[in-house]
Parts: sequence; C-alpha cells; structure tokens
Amino acid sequence: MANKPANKEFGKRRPAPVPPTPGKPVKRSGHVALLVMGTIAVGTTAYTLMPRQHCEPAPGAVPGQTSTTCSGGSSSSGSGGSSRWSSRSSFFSSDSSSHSSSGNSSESGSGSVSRGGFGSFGHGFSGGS
Amino acid sequence: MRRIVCPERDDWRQTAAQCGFAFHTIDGERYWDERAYYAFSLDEIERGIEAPTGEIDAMCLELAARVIGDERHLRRLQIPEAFWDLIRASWQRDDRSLYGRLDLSFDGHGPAKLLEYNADTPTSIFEAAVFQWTWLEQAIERRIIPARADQFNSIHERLIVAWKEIAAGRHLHLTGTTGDEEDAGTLAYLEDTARQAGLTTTLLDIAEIGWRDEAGGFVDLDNSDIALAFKLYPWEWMFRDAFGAKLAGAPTRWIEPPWKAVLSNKGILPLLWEMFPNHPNLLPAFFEDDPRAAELGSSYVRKPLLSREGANVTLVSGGMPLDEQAGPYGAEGFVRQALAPLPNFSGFYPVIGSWLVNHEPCGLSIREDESPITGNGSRFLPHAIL
Repeated sequence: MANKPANKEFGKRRPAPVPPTPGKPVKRSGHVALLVMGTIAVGTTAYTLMPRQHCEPAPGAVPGQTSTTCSGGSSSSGSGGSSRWSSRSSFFSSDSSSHSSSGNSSESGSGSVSRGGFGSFGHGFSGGS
Repeated sequence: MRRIVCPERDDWRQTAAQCGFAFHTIDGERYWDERAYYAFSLDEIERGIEAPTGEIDAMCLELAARVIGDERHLRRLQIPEAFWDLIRASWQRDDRSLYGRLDLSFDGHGPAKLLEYNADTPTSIFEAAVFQWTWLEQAIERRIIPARADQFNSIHERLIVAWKEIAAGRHLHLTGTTGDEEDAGTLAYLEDTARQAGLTTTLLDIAEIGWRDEAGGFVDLDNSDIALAFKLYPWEWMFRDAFGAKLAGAPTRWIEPPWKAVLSNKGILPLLWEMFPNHPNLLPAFFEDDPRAAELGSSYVRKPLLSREGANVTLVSGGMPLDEQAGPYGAEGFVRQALAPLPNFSGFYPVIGSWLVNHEPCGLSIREDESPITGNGSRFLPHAIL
C-alpha cells in the first residue's frame, strides 16, 4: 500500500511564473528557424536517420543559427522507416492483442543490459494525442 | 470567428518537404489543409481562448494536487497502485512539464468549453508552431490574407526558453515510436528546439531503451545513462510495458513527468466539474457509473478514461448514438460529458487546440472535420488574427 503523504504538500502548486523576455513579442513569433530538422530531415529518409543520432551545438553556436554537430551511431538501430509501424489510419483496425505487453526483454549482448522492455504495449500505434 | 476560403500556396508541398514536414498527407488524404483558414479577432483570442486556457491549466494543477493526495481518486482514474508512489514523488519533486494542449469547443461567441486535456503526449505541435507560422508569413507576402494579419503563436520561442529552464544544461534523450511518421516528426521538431536551447541530445526508439541491472537504470544504445528523457509514449503504456516495473527504481527524470498521468486521464473531466461546479469553461461531466450521470439526460458524449484521437468516443443524442469512432479503448471505464456540439462552419466542425508551454498559453491549432467528432483523419487548418 502506498503511503499517503501529508496534505500540506499538496494543493499549493500554481503555474510556474514565466520570466519576461524583453524585446520579444508576447503573442507571436518573431522568427521561426529550424536548426537541423529542415536540413537533414526531408521526407521519410529523415526518420531512418533520426534514431541513434547524437547532436550537440557546435562551439560558439548561437540559438537560431544552423550550427550543430551530429554524429551517427556505431550501428544501425533498425527501427527507422515507415514500413515497420502501421500508419495512423491502421491504428483503428488493430485488434486488442496488439496492446498486450510481451514482458520479454532481449539481451543486448553487452553484459547485463536488457532491451525491448518498452514499446510493446503501443507497438504499431502512434503515442501522440 | 470566421472560416474563410482562400487559395492555397501552389508550392506548399515543396515548402513542407524543405522543413521536414512529411506527414502533411496521410494515406492519400490531406492532413494539412490551407484551402481555408479560421479568422479571429484579437479579443476572441485573448479573452475567449488565452485567458480560459490559463485558468483551466491552473484548475488542472489544483485538481492534480487533490487526486495525487487521495487514493480514492487515483483508484477512480484506474491508475495502477504500483505507480502511485512514482506519481507522488514526481509531484513532490515538482518535476517540470514542458507542454500540453487543451482541446476546446469555441464558436467566437459563448465561453470556450474544455473537451479534453492532452496533457501527456500532445502532437501536432510542429505544424502549429512552424508550418502554420510559415503559412502566415507567405500568405501575407502573396496577398492571400491581409497584410495586417497576425497569429496567436509563440510556441517556438517558448519551447526554446522552456528547454533551457527545464533541462538546465543536462543531456536530453528523446524517445517514442520513431517509425510512426507523425511521432517521428514531433520528436525531430522538439529535438530541434532543444538544440536551439543549447542542449546536447540523443534520439532513440522507445524499444531501444535498455535497462542495466547493475546499479539499476535506463540506458541508451551506447549504454550511457538516461538522466533526462522526453517521451512521446503515454504513461499508461509505460505502466503496462515490461520495464514499467523498473520505473520507480530508476533515476531517470521524464518529460512529461509521471504526475501528468493524472491529467491525461479523461476522468479529470468529472473531477474538475465536481471541484469547480458550473465553471463557464467546463462542461458537466460524470463517471458513467455515477447516478448523477442521469442529470445529463439522453444526450451526452461518452469517452473512455484512456483514449487518443477520438477513439471509442460516442456522441449520443436523444438516447441514440449519432456518431461513434472505433478503437481499442474503454476497458478502464467511461465518463459522460454534456453534449456541446462543435460549431458548424458551412458543414465543417473545428476543434480549437490551445497550447501551453511551461504552463503559459502561447498558441493555437485547429483541427477540422465533417464529423462532429474530431478523429485521426481530421485536417489541420491555419488561423489568423484579423
């Protein structure tokens, strides 16, 4: 049984204050720029590239300017591409068995790390709402 | 509030491709649709949408405090007891929320009504923050809309500011079902904004997350610790996955945090109505097994506690199901919400998506359908302030 915390700890939260950003418009964007997405992420190809990318701003990079260093992983993740997962429309035609958790994790081959413990419940579904 | 038919940009598909917007057409059907736009007055935006959004968010936080502190409510929402401590701990630590989207019924006249709160894994933020803004700029430039047109949209800048505050320089992992185009696009966009905030990032599929037995902890494909992770994968799914049992023992901090599992549950609709009865921005709502549900009469909307994209939502009028969306949800139970028909603009039914970043109302998106239930096939239309 979970412990019930003292009441005094609850009910006091309010929305976090947003610090003023002098010079920036309140209700509209000034300039919407994409750092990397618009340069490497074009079409379905983008999604085969995305997993296993490690990115960091290049030295001296200024937010809003295209200066980022990305390096691919040492091995293919095998999880990209649109064919492995069902499209949004097929979400509704999936049977309920797709929602069961397998509970099986696979050994990664790198000692005591196991993988595959997330993703089985929502396999093939968009997690968005 | 008006729906205005307008010419589309003849090169918008190329523009979409250039910025990585790959899911503008889904299964051959338009998802992005700029053959019309919705026009608002500034007053409609500020008093009709922005202010109520902030107020509803504040009410939701008060409700979260009450639910998390009361086992009866957690049980009522069908949140597994094994995760109550995880949720409480994240609330007590004040684990930060990045964003959320309220879905509102609004016709420009009466008060906006909360239909639901996408508190955990809201999508469509890329098209709201970037592509909609690009449309505004180009539509003004090409004289498709008046030069004075504006847009309620500072999502992009606020995300960058929020990342700086929330991540505070820590390395960020982003994860989800990367094979799904829309989810992958959302992750790519949020990663982009995180990098613009100066963060280093790693993106991996949710299934690639590993668990290291020694010392205990989630790791990426390089077996590096995952200290801070943005997940576009619902909490209720994580709870049920095999690694769900390891969540409480891991030092990973998640965005959205575990306490958002409370607010993404449609059981908050009756709880909000109970806590703030007759609030002008709320609709009467009750749990289905609550005798008070009879107060709604024979017309209401039936929603599963856990549902996405309108799945398993039934619109009942005069005791008869008018419209029903198929789907796999409903095992956890249902709520009934008073019927608040969406406004009808020439046969199109728009739902307002009102965005919050770091609890600040900051943008608008509109999904439109010929059906009064917004579903997975509903189209995204841009908006302008005239």
